Order: sequence, then structure tokens, then C-alpha cells
Amino acid sequence: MEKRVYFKGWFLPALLITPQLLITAVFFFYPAGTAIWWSLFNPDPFGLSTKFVGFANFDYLFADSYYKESFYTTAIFSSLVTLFSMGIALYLAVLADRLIKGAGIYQTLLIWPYAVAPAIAGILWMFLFDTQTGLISWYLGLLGYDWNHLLNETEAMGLVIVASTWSRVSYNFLFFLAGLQAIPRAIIEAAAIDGARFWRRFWTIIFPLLSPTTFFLVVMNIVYAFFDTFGVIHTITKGGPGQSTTILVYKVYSDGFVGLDLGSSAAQSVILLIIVGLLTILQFKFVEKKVHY
Amino acid sequence: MSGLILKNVKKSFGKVKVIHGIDLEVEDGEFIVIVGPSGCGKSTLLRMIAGLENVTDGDILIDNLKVNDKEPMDRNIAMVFQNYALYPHMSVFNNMAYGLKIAGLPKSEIAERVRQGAIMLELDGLLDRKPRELSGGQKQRVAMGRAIVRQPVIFLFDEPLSNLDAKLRIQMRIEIKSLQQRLGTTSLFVTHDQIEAMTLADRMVVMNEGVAEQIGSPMDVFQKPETVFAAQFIGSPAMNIIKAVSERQSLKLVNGTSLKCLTQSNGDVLVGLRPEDLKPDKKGKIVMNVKLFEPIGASTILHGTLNNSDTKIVSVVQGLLSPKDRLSEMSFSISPEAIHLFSRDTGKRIVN
Repeated sequence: MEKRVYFKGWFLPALLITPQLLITAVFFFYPAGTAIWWSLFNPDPFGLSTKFVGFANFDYLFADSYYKESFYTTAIFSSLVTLFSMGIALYLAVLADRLIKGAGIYQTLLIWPYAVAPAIAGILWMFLFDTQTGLISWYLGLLGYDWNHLLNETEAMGLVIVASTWSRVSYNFLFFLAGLQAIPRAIIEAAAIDGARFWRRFWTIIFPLLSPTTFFLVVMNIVYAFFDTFGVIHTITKGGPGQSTTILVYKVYSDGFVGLDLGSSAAQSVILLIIVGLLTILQFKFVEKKVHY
Repeated sequence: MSGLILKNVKKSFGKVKVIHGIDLEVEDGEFIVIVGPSGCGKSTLLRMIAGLENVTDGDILIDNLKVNDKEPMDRNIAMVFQNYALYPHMSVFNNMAYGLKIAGLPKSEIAERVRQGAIMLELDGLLDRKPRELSGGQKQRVAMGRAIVRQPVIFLFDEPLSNLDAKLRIQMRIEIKSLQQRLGTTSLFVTHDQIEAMTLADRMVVMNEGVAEQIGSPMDVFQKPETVFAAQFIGSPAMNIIKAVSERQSLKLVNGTSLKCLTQSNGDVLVGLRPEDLKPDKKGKIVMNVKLFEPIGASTILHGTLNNSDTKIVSVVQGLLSPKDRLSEMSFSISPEAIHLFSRDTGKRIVN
């Protein structure tokens, strides 16, 4: 049931939504607008003048093999982070949902990593895997494996995926646990009486009923992997070695602030803006209609 | 042979004892109704039989096999839940076929069984629908269909009619009864509604605070309630209970009125008088100060107190009383056979 509040005048409602509108305008619309504006210009190398170039920045990007490679890197990175963080979170949530004693402690501990900022999480994992002093890389050395994510591209990608996944599991866990607890007990019991053992119940009853949560999380995790992992990548690999961990958002930063190619950087931001827009539309369309019981 | 035997079944949640030892032997094909107020442990008892709750103590036997430690799926039972508990993402067909698929039946047999079940429950046109596209009564039929197609040894019903409106409830009650008679499957039905209990049961178990107050046919329970609780829970309006002192075959009610009765006893007792057994009689000894007349169509319910006392009593008088018959003081008589006597200490029926 929907609750609506009606106001008589316009003053109070206007006053109530003004802060939200101001924040949206200052921190979202203004930067987005500036990015779109700048994506159409090119400053000279010394920043003294700017020239209108139309869509030349975009043309240049789409012809650039490095940019295509970054797209590819992003696709691998975000799909693996989404897959792993959701898979692990779902597994943990299913276990937590079955717990009777100590559920509170278990859940609280699982939520803690969410409080760790991505950059801190990155540093933490960087220390663990440091080629000189890292604990895990030392153990790997004992096993005869020479870990070096500063040189090996696959290892670098693996490490940023592990770190990003780790800091995302808590978030997904919370949603999955809430989703599991919203499934009426009687439905599960009916399935048990019907003869379905745990995993059968899980795949035929629980997982389908969780699909609204799952879909929501897929979109949220893709968005997370696209943007919020900047801190992790910046602290661990700085996009390297080579370009192997440079995802799109990291390329925006490195091209714009390291390479000082502001026009291209702005154009890349606009492309990301469009991707997020599409994801959001998808999200609303699906959650509203398809995956709903 | 009996389908189900309960031997001194007990249940505690932690330190809280909710069921204090229930013994019951259910004949094959019998319809048993477990009736009691909310919180009396009736649903817990049913869930223990289903295998959804552990048994703290005692034994449950289905088909003469101890099933205490068996999983629900291994007990050969089917259950109908209060909230239907249909699988919301599956069609009616798949809801009914789910258990059969898991049992590994061939597809043709699954289709045949579901078809027969659907015809029996008049669901044949609805097999492709999702539960959200069904009305409450249809959902409840699907839930029953899901139970029927599995051809279990026992049906368990956990207040299946509580979510339906009054008219539908009566209709479904009749359908359940005739279905059970046709299939001849042993059934246990939990309800808090005494009318459902009276109409459905071959035998009923009246439960209160985890104890079976009385087990017997509806007429037994109604005519010879074994405890004050059973006397008051079954029958509507509830039986009047009046404090009295008994001396041989005469009773002295709390307000001083003397009544004749057939039961021999001496000492403090509780007298039970069914409202419909109180007959209006100008010379009657039971005098009521009437506070409220409730016409309900065929009869009128009178609420008031026994004169010279605070004891509330109710009586039912046939027909509609015209305003000139609605006196503030009315007299009733009761035949000695209709008087129930209970011990004031134990609440148990006093028998000759």
C-alpha cells in the first residue's frame, strides 16, 4: 500500500526538497554538465587556450586501441568482481540464514569489511601480497610460487579482483540475507514436505524467489566495479603493469590528471555517464516488471 | 490397524514446556480435529507430526513405524498450510507436480495424477495460472491439490480456512469433509473454530495449555464435557458455569437458589448449564436479571446476571421476543438431566 502525504501550499514542500535538489545540482548536474562541455573542447598543451573540436575527442577515443583494451579489461574485471562477490555473499547468507545460535555475532563480523574504505582495503591487500614483505606472497614463495603482481599482468588483475571482491561481499551479504529472510518459512517447509532436500530447495524455490534481490545486486555490483574500485586499483597497481588493470574510470583519471589530456578525459567521463544511465534504466525496467512476484 | 499413534508426546522450547504429554491413537481413515485457543500448542503438535519440529519426548508412529527422527519427506504425509504456502513462481500445474517430480515419477503419471486432482478440486481450467492470479479459495484448493496428488498416508491441515471469508470458509469446510470421505485418507485438522471442529471431526481433541482436555466424538464432547474448559470451549454461546454447593441430589447455587440434580456428590462444585437448556418458565427457579437482548434471527440471546449475585449467565430463547416479552427479570427452569457438574478443585466432570 502506498502512503502519500498531501500539502496544501507550495512553500513547505519546496523547502523540504530544496536541500536534495541543491546537492544533486551542485555535486551531480554541475560536474556532469561540465564534463559534457569539456568533452567538446581541446585545450592547448599549456592550458592557455581552448578550441572547440566537436566530437573529435570521441572519434579519437573510438579509434584508440588502448581505450578498447581498457573496455575489455573493465568487462573482465567487473564481471569477475560481480560474480565472486555475489557468489560468496550468497553462500555466506544461506549459511547465516540457517544459523540458530550466534547468528548476531556471525552477521556483525561479516558486515565489518563494508566499513573499510576501498583505498584502505587496497593497501591492506597490497601489504598481504607485497612482493618483498607480504605475508601471503611469502607463503606462496614457500610453496615454490614466485608472486609478483608488479610484473605479472594476470597476478595484478587477480589481486585487484580479490581486494575489490573482499570489500563488496558485506554489502551483498546484507541484501541476500534480508532477501532470504523475506521468503515465507511455510513455503520452504512445504517444499521440505514435498520431498526436496536442501540444495534442491535452494535451486528450485529459494534462488528463483531471490531473483529480484539478485538482479538488483548485479546492477549495483557492476556500478561498484566500474567506479568505486578506483581506490583499490590506485593503491595496489596504479593501473599497471602496463595497462593491464586500467579500467575505464582509472583511465579517465590517468589520461586527465596524469596525461593532462582533459578533452579526452572528459569524453571518457561522458561515455561512463551514458553506461550508468543505461544500467539505471535497465534496473528500473526490470525490477518494476519482470523479476517480481 | 491405525495410521497414527502418539505416545506421551512432549515438546519444550528451551525451558518453556508447550506440550505436556499427549496420547492419541488415530484409526485408519479417521478425521481428527485438534481444537483449542491460540497458544494451546495445537499447531506445534501438528508440526511435530509433520516433522517440522523436533519431538522433545515421547513417540510418534505412522503406519506403526516410529518417525521421531525421520525427515518430513520420509514420513509419507502431506500438509496444507494456513497461508497456502504455494510456490509463487510456479504455475498451478507445477505447484501440484513439484513433489511428484522430486519423487521421480514418470512424466505421464505426473500429468495424469495432477489432471485427476485438478478435476476433483475443479481446478482443471486454472493449471497454467500463477498463484497470484488466483482467488483465496482457489489458492486453498491448489494447496489441497498439492497434498492430494502425492497420495499420502496422512493429511495434515494447519488452520487452512482461517484466511478465507466467512461464506467461503463454510463452503470449503464442506468440500474438505466430502473430499476426505471420498479419499478415505486419515486426516488431522487444526483449528481454533469450534464450529469447524464440530462439523468436520469424527473425533476431536480439545487442547488447552499443552494438555488434551478431552478426546472424543463431537457429540460426546458436547453432551459430556470432561472438564470445565471443554464445556466452555465447545458450544456457542458458551456454557454457563455457576459456583454451587452440592448435597446428595440437591444443589445450592451461589445466590441461594436450590436445584434438583441427578448426580450424587457432596461439597463445593461448579454447575454447568448450557444456555439453550435454560427454558423460559414463569415458575422457574433460576432468575436472571437481563441486561441485553441479542436477536440473531431464529433465536434471541439473553445476557445478564443470576439474581442476587454477580455471576454472569446467558440463555438462548427460541424466536424473536416481542418488546412486551423483554422483561428485565426472567425466570428459567432446567431439567435435572441437563445439569453438568464439575469438581471445583480439579475442573473435572463429576460422574455418578
